[in-house]
Amino acid sequence: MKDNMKNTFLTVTGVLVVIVVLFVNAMDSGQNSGKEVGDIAVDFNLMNVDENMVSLGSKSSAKGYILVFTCNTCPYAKMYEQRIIDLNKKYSDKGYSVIAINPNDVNKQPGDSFEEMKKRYKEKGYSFPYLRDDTQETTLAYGASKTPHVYVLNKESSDKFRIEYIGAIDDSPREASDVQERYVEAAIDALLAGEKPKVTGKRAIGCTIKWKDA
Amino acid sequence: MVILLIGLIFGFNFNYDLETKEKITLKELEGLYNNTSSEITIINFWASWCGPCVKEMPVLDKFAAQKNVSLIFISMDFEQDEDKAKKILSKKGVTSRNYFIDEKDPDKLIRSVEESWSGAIPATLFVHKSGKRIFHEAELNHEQIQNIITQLMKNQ
Repeated sequence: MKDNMKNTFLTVTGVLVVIVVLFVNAMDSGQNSGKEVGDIAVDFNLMNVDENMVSLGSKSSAKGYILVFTCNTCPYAKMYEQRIIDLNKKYSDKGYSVIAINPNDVNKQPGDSFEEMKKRYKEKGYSFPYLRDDTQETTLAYGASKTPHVYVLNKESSDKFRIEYIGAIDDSPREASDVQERYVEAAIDALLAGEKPKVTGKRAIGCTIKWKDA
Repeated sequence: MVILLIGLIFGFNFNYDLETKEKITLKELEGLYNNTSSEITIINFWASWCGPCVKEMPVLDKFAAQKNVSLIFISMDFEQDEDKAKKILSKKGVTSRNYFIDEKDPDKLIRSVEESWSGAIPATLFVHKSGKRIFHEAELNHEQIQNIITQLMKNQ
């Protein structure tokens, strides 16, 4: 009996150690945690530059979204700004419009404040929501780690969107005219044709997200 | 005479290694951190357009003075911006070696350097000669760099 108890104790301790190790590893992977292609998208409720709240359910006619974590200040994001505007022009009528989310901490990057976002939105004539993720919870939930960072979402039912592509917009950041592969467009074209995207993730260089100090 | 010429050509080719190059291929980069003679090799990925990268360069460069550390900067700049990058290196008084990456496919480069790297810069890879690696994707300060080096040395 005593031996049994001892064995049980050892087993329980062993299991606990494994759980703790797994948990610590999961914490350690930090920026890797978050969503992957095939996962259900996390809904959010964030303030747009017009001071209305926007969530995935805001546009009932949506077939999906091009969710872009981007900002005013990152030179790489700026290189892609016009291409993000063009993506919305091309695909919003087809059911896939852009939602841009600015994740940067305002204390670290004052150029990404709500007021600066409003200015940028007006100057560049954004035709899509530009939201602020002040708590950075949505950004963390998706596992976005840089700007620009794109998630292509496809609607499966009224409140269920699946992530079908994560990563780069295309293969030529510096010169839009040199683009050979348009990853986001290819993903949406596939979805529009009722197919799964062939390429579901391409990494690109970008700016680190400016996280709040813990 | 012919033999001498051949010898010279081969000799020249033989010496024409990374010391004289400005650009580095992915394969050569992998060679840098896989066969290192330094106890700690630090590879920092940066670009002239990246503010936090430029800010941390002098902080990193100080560590190159430690005899067990070798530091290499890898510029991710576009070809058009290489002169701008060189000016920054000289303005910041960087003493360590810099290479421009010679790989057109960023996805391939990023995954090959580190599976967990999303592609954001600054990013820094610390490699101990035993092969143990620590990868950091964000700006680093002096204390953080020292801590990572200490951690790599301690666990051997």
